Amino acid sequence: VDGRLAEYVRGQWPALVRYATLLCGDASEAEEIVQSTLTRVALRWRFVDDKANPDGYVRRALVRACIDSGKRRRREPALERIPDLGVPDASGRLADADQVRRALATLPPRQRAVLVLRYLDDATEARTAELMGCSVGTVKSQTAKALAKLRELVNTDDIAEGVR
Amino acid sequence: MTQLEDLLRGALATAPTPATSTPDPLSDLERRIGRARRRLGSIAVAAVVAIVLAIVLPLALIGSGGDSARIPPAHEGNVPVQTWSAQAGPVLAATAGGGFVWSLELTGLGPGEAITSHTTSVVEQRDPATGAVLRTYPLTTPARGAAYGAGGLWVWGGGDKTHPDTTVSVVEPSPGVVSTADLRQVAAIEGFGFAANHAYAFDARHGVYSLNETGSGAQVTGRRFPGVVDVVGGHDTLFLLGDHRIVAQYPVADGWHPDLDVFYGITIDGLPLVESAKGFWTVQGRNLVQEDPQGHQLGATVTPPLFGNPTFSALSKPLAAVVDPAGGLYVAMSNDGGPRIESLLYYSPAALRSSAPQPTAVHVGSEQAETIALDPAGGVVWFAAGGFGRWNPAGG
Repeated sequence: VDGRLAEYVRGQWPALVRYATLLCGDASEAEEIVQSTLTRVALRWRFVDDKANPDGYVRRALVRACIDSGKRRRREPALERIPDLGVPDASGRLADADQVRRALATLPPRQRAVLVLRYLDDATEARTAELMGCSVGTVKSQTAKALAKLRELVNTDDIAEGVR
Repeated sequence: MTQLEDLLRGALATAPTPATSTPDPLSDLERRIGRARRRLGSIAVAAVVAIVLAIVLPLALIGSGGDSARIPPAHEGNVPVQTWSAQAGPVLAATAGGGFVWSLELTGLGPGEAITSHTTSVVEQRDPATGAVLRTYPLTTPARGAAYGAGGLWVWGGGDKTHPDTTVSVVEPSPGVVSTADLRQVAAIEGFGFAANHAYAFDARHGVYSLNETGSGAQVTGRRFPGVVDVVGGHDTLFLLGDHRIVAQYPVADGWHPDLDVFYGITIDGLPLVESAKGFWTVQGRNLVQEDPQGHQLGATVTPPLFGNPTFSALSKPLAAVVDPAGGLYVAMSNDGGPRIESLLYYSPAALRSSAPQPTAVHVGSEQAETIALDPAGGVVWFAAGGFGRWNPAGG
């Protein structure tokens, strides 16, 4: 492994696993995706333009790997996992952030990715399109669908009460 | 921003870092890389075995006759090399266009010396019939690439820390002038393609840019196409070759559209060689296939003949191609799988209409030919480090 990539992996491993977990909705799978993505990056290292800071290259590969992995998983119904969204407790006080994250994990892979890129990375629509390998129009439509779906899954009224 | 968006932003920002089950990710990564390389090696071995079983063994069993793919075509003899004497220094690039042969040479460079701030280059405009230098154009930078199209010779690259790699010079043969500009909007220029009489540069950051066709080249418009590593043009279409996809663009008529005519999967085994009237020719294995931008095959598959006695490690393969104005296809072949062009084939438009196109062929001699271009006088011209040769299958 090139020294610069090794240094990057040492420093960024936890952050990459966290990022992939949000993108694919499953921590154990995220770790595997990060490792396989880094392996591909290492094998294609000579094509990486900015070897001193490969973060952009790695994250773009990670986004696409998570989307592809999600698509494969959705084609495998036997392995389909539906995260437990939980049942509202007696007090109606749900852990808001946790509920949102679990709801996010149930979205289709591209919708999940578009929300992570737009609301965690603050990526523009154009940058999100570039990272996902799709058009800006697709980003817009996927964002709208994802937010609508998330709104169905998350009871914002309950959460608002919980916050008060 | 809505309440949901606020919640989402907060939930993502406060997401905990999962406990990792990989105590030493770097060691794990190195193990995976080792496994992947061994797997790739196994695949390569399997591919070689498959080639031996599928091609070489049957040919050996058949013997010297019976297989038209193996029979060397009737060579019309060797093409003599028209050598040139590089007057300034090492020849970095050569091409043909506008009725002339062009060579790009470095100047101010002694034997074994590296490029410095004193190094520049010259373009030599030559008579294609004799190789004689008709005119010399001094440049101010040590350029490293040249291509002819859109009415001029486009020369790019600086190549050292003094001159930026974004320098472009245009030699216009009619008035005989050179214009030079530094395109600061782009990254290091990697090459040029031409479509609809416009020049397009692509850079090291996957940008494809339209330059004004004459003059300083200072007017630049374009955009980045992630993954694009080459451009191939001609007629009205510019094909952008990326990682497993080709994007057809019609920038002059229609501007830039990154998602237009995206064609996935073609480049696994091939390269877009050259645009034809309705699409482009690509190499797929040993064959040449003409396809439209949507990936539909046009016409018959062209299977260049094998030369000599092929073995699995020395198969003939196409290296480059050009299409003449009539639609005929010139193919430059390596006879041993290496980078050296040893034979030239010509498939006439009539031959390409048949179900099993047969070429006219010629051996180009022992020089290390590297590139080919259409000969301004008809036929094709091929370039080597020490000169160029010409071949016109029509008898010129």
